[in-house]
Amino acid sequence: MIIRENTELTESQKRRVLERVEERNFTCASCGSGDFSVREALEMGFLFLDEEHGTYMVALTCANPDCGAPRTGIRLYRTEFLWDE
Amino acid sequence: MPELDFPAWIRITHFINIIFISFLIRSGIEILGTHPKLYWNDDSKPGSEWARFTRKVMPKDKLYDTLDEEEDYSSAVAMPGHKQLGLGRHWHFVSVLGWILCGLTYVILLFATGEWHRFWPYSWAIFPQAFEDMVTYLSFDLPPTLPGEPYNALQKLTYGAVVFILAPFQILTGAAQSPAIEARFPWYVRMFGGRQWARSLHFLALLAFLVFIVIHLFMVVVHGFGKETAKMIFGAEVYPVAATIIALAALAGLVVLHWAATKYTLAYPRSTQRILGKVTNNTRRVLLHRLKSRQDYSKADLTPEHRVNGKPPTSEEYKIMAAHNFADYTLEVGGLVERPMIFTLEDLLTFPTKQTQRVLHNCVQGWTSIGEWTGVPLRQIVESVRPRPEVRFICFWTMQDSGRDEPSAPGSGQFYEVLDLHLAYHEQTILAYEMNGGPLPITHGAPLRLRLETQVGFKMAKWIERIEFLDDYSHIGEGMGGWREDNVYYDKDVEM
Repeated sequence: MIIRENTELTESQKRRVLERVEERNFTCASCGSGDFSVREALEMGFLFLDEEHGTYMVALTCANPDCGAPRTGIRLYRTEFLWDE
Repeated sequence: MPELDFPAWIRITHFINIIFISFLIRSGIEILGTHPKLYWNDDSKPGSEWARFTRKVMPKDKLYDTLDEEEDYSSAVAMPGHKQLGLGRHWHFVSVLGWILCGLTYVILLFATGEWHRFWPYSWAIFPQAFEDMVTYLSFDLPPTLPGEPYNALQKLTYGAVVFILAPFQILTGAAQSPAIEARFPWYVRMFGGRQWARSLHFLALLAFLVFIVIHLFMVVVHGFGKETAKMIFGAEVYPVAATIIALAALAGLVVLHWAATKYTLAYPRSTQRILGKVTNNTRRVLLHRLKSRQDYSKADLTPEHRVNGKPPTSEEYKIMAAHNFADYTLEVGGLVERPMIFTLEDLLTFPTKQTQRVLHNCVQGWTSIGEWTGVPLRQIVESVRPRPEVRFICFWTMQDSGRDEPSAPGSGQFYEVLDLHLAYHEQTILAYEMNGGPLPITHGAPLRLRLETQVGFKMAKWIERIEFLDDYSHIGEGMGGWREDNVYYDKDVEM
């Protein structure tokens, strides 16, 4: 049995992630940019012993084309972004 | 028929047998304690066990691994006790070698001297006679011995069965649990119904031994302790008082031997690992190290939920990389090579050769699962980087920090394992990036893990980040050839 660990996000879910990014003033650790595109989310509560249930690592890609390390991530709780309208 | 008595070699091998078999039983209980569940299926599916010797309940909402299921048995029953699987395995394997040598000596002398007649049932009439003997015992009376023989019919059949059926059966079911033997001769383990059948039968045979020992000792007392022990000490029913004293002293000596061996093992685990390991490693290298895996299980055999051992790295870098489907992953291959290389996951996925194998996974703790693994043959990576002539070993460095990520295991530091270089050339040694037709799951070592099918699971490093070619590994960690070898005293080569 294959467990698909990453969750694909809908457009509204991605929009909410970007809202959280903005609220937290989250910036790229490599270039300092605050512009990101949102990818998939990894539920970490089951897999990692140091994570609480409902915690996700949401994959973000820095929008700055000159960024040296564009792939990063933001830790969010399920209730912060993962619901369908 | 020659005159049957108790010559010195029977008495000596009987005494040596007591030592080895008592160590085998206690170390066997230690091994059982690390996965205290028995199955009739090779999936070792949680909840499908027919016997369990633990009260632990595993969580359903959090990843647990089989290290969390280990039991901590007392040294009173287990050798050495206290969750020391590595040391228990050393004692078990050294004892089994001694036991087999002692048994072979006994059987050879049995046939060379004609003493085998003591076990040979010359007539079918012995079976009803044995039943009558049992009825006599149950009537609190003693049956007579057979004419001109040292045993009554029941004793003759029972001892014969222990020597020629139970003991070989225990050796054969033990061998069926060796990953190297299973991998090279899959038909052999199937002959027992599968790996977990072999493990369960091995356990039932242990119980049979225990029942035999208890009844045997009880009967020695019933027949007359002094008289019976005299046969095994002086070779005849003479000096019963002296025999009683010597037998009790020998039993006390056996207890002291176990106590001292246990204390030493727990106080000096590294020294025990080195001393006992020398014996077992040399034997293993001669008998098992060159065996190559030839497994090809069917898709129908695949385990629906392959069991897990080891917990994923909890570093932020790993979690971000996993959320991005390991797009940033790189494998560094270096050390003593002509062409150090760095492979991306894409490089590995598009490697010219993609190999798939369906194989039985053997955990050192005793559980199994059957999985399909796809990846790059390790020999092709080796050929790409061209090791220098002095290279003898390959070290697999992982992203797991055991102190941080694996609280159920004692010790800390980056997890690594060392292999002999020649194992990389085995056909079914691969760096796997897929499992059961999909991407390798995080729980099973994503994005890259080793598959080395003739050894137990812990050697197959998961979450690999770097491969280093070496001429010597004594400078790494404690110098024992791997994180588990350093911290929990396992063997470096684990073909059994």
